[in-house]
Amino acid sequence: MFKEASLMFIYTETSLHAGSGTSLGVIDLPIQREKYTDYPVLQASGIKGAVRDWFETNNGVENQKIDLIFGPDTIGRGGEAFAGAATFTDARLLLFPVRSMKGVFAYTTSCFALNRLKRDLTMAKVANVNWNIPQEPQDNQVFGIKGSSLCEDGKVLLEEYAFDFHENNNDVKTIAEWLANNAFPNEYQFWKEKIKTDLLILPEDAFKDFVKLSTEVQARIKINNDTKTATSGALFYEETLTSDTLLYSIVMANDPFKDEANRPNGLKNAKDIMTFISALNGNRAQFGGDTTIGRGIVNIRLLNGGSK
Amino acid sequence: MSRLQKVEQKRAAEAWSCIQAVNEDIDSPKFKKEYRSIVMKLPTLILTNGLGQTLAFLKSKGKNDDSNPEEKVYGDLQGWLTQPNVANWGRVMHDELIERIMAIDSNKYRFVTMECLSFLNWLKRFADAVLPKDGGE
Repeated sequence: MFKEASLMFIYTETSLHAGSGTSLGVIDLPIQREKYTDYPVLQASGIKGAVRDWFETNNGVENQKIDLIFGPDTIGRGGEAFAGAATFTDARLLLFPVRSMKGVFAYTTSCFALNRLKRDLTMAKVANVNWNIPQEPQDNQVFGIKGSSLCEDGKVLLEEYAFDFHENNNDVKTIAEWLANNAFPNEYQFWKEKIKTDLLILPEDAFKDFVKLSTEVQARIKINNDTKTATSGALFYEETLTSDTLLYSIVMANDPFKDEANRPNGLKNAKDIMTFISALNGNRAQFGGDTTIGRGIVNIRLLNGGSK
Repeated sequence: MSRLQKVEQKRAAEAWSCIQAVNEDIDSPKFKKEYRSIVMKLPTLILTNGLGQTLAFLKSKGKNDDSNPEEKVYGDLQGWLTQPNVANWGRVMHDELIERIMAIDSNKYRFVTMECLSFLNWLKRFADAVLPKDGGE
């Protein structure tokens, strides 16, 4: 399957639109979602393309290296087909920011999202996972951290929904600290402090409804140049993932599938490939669509896993 | 699958009869245009402001007077959401939709919001198909 693995944490700094085409629903341009959970997702192909683009523009490395890592883009024009050495999985949702009556916003997650993260960490052989996941909160409870700024009289108000705040669970604090240290970008001092108090574990159904109903929906129009008013028939609604969302994708590396005899230095094997991709760590990239209206700027943190 | 399909079909049938009622029983083209334009923007209103606020807005424009299209839209939503087996209202059995909304807990509230959006998908589609368009869209 793979020889090296890392987790790539993707933290959105501007709203991100990874579009899934058109729809018949409320929103004309919805975002990509997992079929079976309805959680927002970033498709692997889009991530791979964005990462490739980042290396092509920022690193000035020659095409041979890019082709070895990501595969050739010249198939059909006389080039020979071979697979790239790097693998990316769909980016899964981990933390979703929700407006809160107190403390501006909460980082919310669910037991399911956390369990999936734990499974993926095991798959990537990440060693320092020191936290456990509590049982799912009951109906109207949320699990939070003692001293959280979100709580008022034992209640948390998210958007327009009230929940009973429970803080006697130490797991949440451990999870928050682990995420601050391992998943958040290094320079995120303020946000690291925030998650250490403002992480909430929601009941499954509540979390699922928030990630469905609390994404950003923006109306877009076209201005008629002669009248300077909105043109009729040009209104559409577009959905985006908000800033301060955390997703993660698993990055895996194999030995290059080509040119065994004359592979360039620094790209001899899977370890080299992973080292090469690690240049992304701590940098910003652009994912998803709508580049020219500032969407999709993300901050990337790589967490090294083990090797086979 | 079969039960889901039935729910979807029921929503469609109810929405279709609401739109037919507006289209055939009401003479005023102005009313039809306004009804259509309210229905078209309603899902977005719910997503951005929440169901309670949106229903209160319809009420405030409707003024309990059936000659206002907002009141008609509110009535149509109430007609669907308060039908037996559509949403579980628990012990809340007021007649008014807005009163029920105020009395239910967060879980039910979110469920009703989702149900309302699913119903509006059909209502919006049929309104767009059948009713005359306002000039400004």
